[in-house]
Amino acid sequence: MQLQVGRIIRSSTTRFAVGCQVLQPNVPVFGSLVKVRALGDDEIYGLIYDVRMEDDPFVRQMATQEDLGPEYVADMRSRQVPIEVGVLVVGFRRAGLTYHHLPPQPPLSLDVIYTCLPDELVAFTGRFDYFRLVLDNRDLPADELLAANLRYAAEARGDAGQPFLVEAGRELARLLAMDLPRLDGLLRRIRP
Amino acid sequence: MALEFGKVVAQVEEMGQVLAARAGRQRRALPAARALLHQFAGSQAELREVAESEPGKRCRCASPDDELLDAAFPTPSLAECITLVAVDGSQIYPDRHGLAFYYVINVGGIIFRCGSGQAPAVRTQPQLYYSEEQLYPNGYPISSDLVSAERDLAEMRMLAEMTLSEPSGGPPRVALADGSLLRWLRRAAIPEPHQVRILAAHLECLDQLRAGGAAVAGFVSRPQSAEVVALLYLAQLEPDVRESVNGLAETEYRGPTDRALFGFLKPGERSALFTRGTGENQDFRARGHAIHSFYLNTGADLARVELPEWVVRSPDRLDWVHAAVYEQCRFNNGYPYVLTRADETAVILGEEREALEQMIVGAMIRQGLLPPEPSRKAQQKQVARSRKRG
Repeated sequence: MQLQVGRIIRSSTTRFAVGCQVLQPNVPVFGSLVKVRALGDDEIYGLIYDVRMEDDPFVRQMATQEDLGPEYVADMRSRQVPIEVGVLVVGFRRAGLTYHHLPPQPPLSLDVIYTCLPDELVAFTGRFDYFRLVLDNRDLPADELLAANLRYAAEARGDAGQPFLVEAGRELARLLAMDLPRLDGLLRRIRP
Repeated sequence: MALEFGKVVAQVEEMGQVLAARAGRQRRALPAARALLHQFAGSQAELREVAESEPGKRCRCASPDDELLDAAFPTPSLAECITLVAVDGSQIYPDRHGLAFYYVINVGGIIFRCGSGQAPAVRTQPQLYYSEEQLYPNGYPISSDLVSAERDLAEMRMLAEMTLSEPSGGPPRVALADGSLLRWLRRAAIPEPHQVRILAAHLECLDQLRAGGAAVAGFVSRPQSAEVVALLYLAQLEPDVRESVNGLAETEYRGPTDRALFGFLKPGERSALFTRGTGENQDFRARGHAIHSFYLNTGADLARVELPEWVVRSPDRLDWVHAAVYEQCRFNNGYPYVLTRADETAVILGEEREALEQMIVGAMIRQGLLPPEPSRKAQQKQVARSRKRG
């Protein structure tokens, strides 16, 4: 089932931030593929690279209390909204075709972000052209992000997951041929 | 630079000296006041007479209940489940130099169900006031005092409503107000018909809470009153000398507050109960809501907790208030958690005010009005101040 992650609070063509009310067990998840409808009928795809709860002096003070009742904990969590989710743009879909490059326009504020269904994840990761868009972000945990995404994509493929990871590993070897330590780390992260 | 620090250095130094002298006077007078507290600890009837006498009324003396004056009551055990409701309010005062003449009252409340494991329920109720009748009561622009009184009333109404929205057959309900339960309407710049209306509505809320089986209390942080000290001072005077006393100002007991007097309380302990000595309490007494109070060591501070007569006369309700307020203070640096949250919910921040004013400007333009501007005075102040900041 498609789940709502939250609404856009800040966006650019490369990244956007989403505000959401609560953390649910399976939403939002680091490395998962999400989408948002942009202007026209385009759908922009992204990977969740960060889930952040901001602190403040009040919550810092409460964190030092012993014996804190569950009502206080629940209250503190509900007042720290929105939880901010960072999304890295990895492609878009237009007229039935999926592109692994940046969309012409960013999504607009308050647009709704949804999780992608397994079929969409399989379809989007059927090609590996988006790898470069992820790996080039050295200010993000890009290797962890891509590895997490590939593990989910493999899981969505069931029995075909292992050959998928082998193919993905070959593409990574091509892209990171000049950076063997990094390649090694990434391959270890997606090893079945 | 508007404030020339060089010119206030000497005044600041002098202020330090005055404060030190005041603290010294308080230190010297406090043991004597405490000795009187112990001396008169069991003389409740005698002290009540002093409080009811003319000099007692002039000096706004507190009146003791039946408990020993120097007793310290430990925290009763907290009911496994208890519901606390707290409310606070904020306002944007009317500003004739602003973009439009209006005012706002925003009330925020929280229902905290201790022992439920649930996240508290939070609610806000913003109200924009813009009509002729609201802005010009009695034909004159509304005063800040009246806006504050209307805000206090909105807080009390929401407190009663939220408290009584909780099931009466469920856990005990304690409504907690920020500050005194008394209303100081006569001393404010408020036309008399509004004083009467606001007081009646406030007492009506207390009626509802009493009828609904809840408890209500007001939490006063860092109280400055010396009603018990005044009572003790008068009590030790000969009756004929007592008659000529108008206050503590000219006496050696000037300085110590009741908060200092009860400084011997340990964390969680409350003092004996007293009835507030101020004249404003007469209106409350007439409706069966005479405001009583006790001092509470919150763990980090000494606060005054005010309660109406019917809460004091119900040992269960008194214990709910004592236990619940202390429990709330334990986790929040000596101040009730629910009041901090109610304040956080109610407060109107500067940027929110700006956003609201932009909405008002938009609404005016959509109605064909010219875009409003601040007054020339406000504009020029802003210009000058922004240059200074730059």
